[in-house]
Order: sequence, then structure tokens, then C-alpha cells
Amino acid sequence: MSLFYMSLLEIILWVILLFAIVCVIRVIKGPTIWDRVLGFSIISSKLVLIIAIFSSMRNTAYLLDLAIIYTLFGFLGEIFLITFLSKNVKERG
Amino acid sequence: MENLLHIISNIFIVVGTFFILIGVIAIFKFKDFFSRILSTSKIDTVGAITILSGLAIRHGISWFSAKTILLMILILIINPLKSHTLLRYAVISGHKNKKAKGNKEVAK
Amino acid sequence: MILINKKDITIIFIFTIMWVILAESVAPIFVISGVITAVVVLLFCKKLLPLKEIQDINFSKLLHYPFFLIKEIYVAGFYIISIVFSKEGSRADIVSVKSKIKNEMLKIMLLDSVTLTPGTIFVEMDGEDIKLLWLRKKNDKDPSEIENLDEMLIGPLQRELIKAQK
Repeated sequence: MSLFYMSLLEIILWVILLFAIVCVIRVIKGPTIWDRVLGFSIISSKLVLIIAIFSSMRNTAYLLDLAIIYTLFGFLGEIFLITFLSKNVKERG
Repeated sequence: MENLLHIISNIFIVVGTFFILIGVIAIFKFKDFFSRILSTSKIDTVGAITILSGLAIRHGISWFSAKTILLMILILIINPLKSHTLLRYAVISGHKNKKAKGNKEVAK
Repeated sequence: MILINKKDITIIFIFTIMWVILAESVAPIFVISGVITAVVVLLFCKKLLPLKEIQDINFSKLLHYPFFLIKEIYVAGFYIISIVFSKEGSRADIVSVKSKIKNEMLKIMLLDSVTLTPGTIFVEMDGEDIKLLWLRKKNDKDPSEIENLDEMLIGPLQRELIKAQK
């Protein structure tokens, strides 16, 4: 019933959230460790988009600061994760 | 005038969502890691830029669209760095592209 | 010793614009505090910025480059989509090419934009030699058979960037 009152932005927000949940399957299933890191990076870029769409729905520009900071810290965390893994993972073949 | 801006921005946002959908398909369709990182990281960047420019058009000339453009520039700089670092350390640690038929042989 | 010379004014200007955008206001107090913060940040980070290489670049010939890059990004996106939906499958290989650019900063710009555009990701660099990961359809030619691989993979971007060399 309430679907008829949804605006387009709200529908897009739920769809992108669905995509992020689907990517979790790749993180769980991924054959190598690098597939898992790739899935993690894609989920974090989807979350940035969700924050941006939500702040556009509410018409509040200060929520975009969260998106900017999330981009920067996600990058930093991923670099730490990758350099840590490269010292501790030795693949056979 | 405002209706026109809303229609244009809606078109941009829907097109960007389709790009992201294709990126999610690509991460499940390909069998090896190299093809996955190549296709997914690139389509992800295109989709994010399209959706953010749609949001910037929706709000006209305001502080909101200025911040959105700042976020777009950040994504354009950071995304290639991310995929380059991931690929480089995967190659250094000994990941190779075998002519495998399934996922299991690559994983071992 | 002069701490701030003429060319740093551009960097201070860019920092101040970012500060004003984040503060969402052009009131004088924000602009003044933004200039002060930009100068302090520049004094701390001056050793980390590659100022010497930047001075050798002619930025006035590079003004149209962002638009060119965005066009190339969309072309690359459609190319990847055609590979994802093709029935014959795909292959990814590491190939090596050579670049003609000598300036280090311009080289980094070339590699960064190559990662964004047509089907390649930059892996490793050693002097002139560059290793790239390249995605192609399964039935296409082998990379060893193609003669002008450099021109095919990095040609158009390199032609735009080489104009800015002094």
C-alpha cells in the first residue's frame, strides 16, 4: 500500500541497499582473500551513495560531510587492510 | 522550470542505477579475480558519477550541489588508487591467472 | 628565507575554496579563517607536495583535459558492458607498454587516467616500461600478435598530456 506514496529517490535507495546486501554473498563465498577485499570496497562505495541520496531526500547538505569522511576513511582502512594482508598471505601458485 | 530539472535528474539517477546493476552482475558472472576487478571497479565509478551528477542537477545552484561536486572529484581521484593498490599487492603476493575452468582450481 | 612564494598562492586559493564549501557560508569570518588555515597547512605539508615537478607542467594547455577524461570514462563503461554481456567470455592478461613522457608528475597523471579508462589497470612501473592488466574478449587477437599495442592502449591520453610538457 505504502509503495504508491514512495518517491523515486526512496525506491532507488532501497534498490541500492539490496545491491549492497547481494555483494555480501561475494564476501562470504569469495574463493581468494582478494575477492573478499574487492567485495568490501564495493559495499563501502554503495554506502556512500546511500548517504548522498538520503541527504538529498531530507534536503540537508550537512549530511554530505558524512559521505566525504566515509570515503576518505574507507580508503585509509582498505589500504591498511591490503598492506597487512600482503605480508601475511602467501598464495600457493 | 523546476519540473524540468526534476525530470532530467530522475533520468540521470535511473541510468546510474542501471550501471551499478551491471557492476553487481559482473562480480558474479566472471570466474577469475582479474576480470572481476577490471569490470567492477570501472563500472562502479561510472555509476557513482552519474547518480551524484543527477543529485547535483536536482538541487540547482546551491551549497548542496557544490558539496556533491567535491564528493565527485574525491571519488574520481580515490577509486583508481584503490583498485591499483589491490591489484598490485595481489600480484606481488603471488596471485596468477590460471586457465582454470572453475573457481576451485584458482582457490586451491 | 621566503616561506611562501608566488606559485603557492594557487594552492592556498584551492584550499580556501574547499574550506568555504565545507562551511556552507561566505561570511567574512569563514573566509579569513580559511586563508589562515590554508597557510598553516601549506607550511606543514610543503615537504610532502611534489612542487618541483609541478613547476615544469604547462597547466594552461591542460584546461580541456577533464572534459576529455569524462568522455573517455563513459566510452570505457560501455566497452566493459559489451564484454559483460558477450557470449564468448573474456580473458585478462598482463601486458607491457612503453611511454614517451619524461616528467614524473605527468606520468603519474597518465597512469591514473589509464586506470579509469579503456579496459586497463596499471600494475607496475619501471622507468619507461609500464605493466598493465588488460581485459579483452576471448576470441580477439593475442597481445603478442598486435603491433601497435602502445598506440591502442595509451595513445589518445598520451597525446593530450604530452602537449603540457615544457
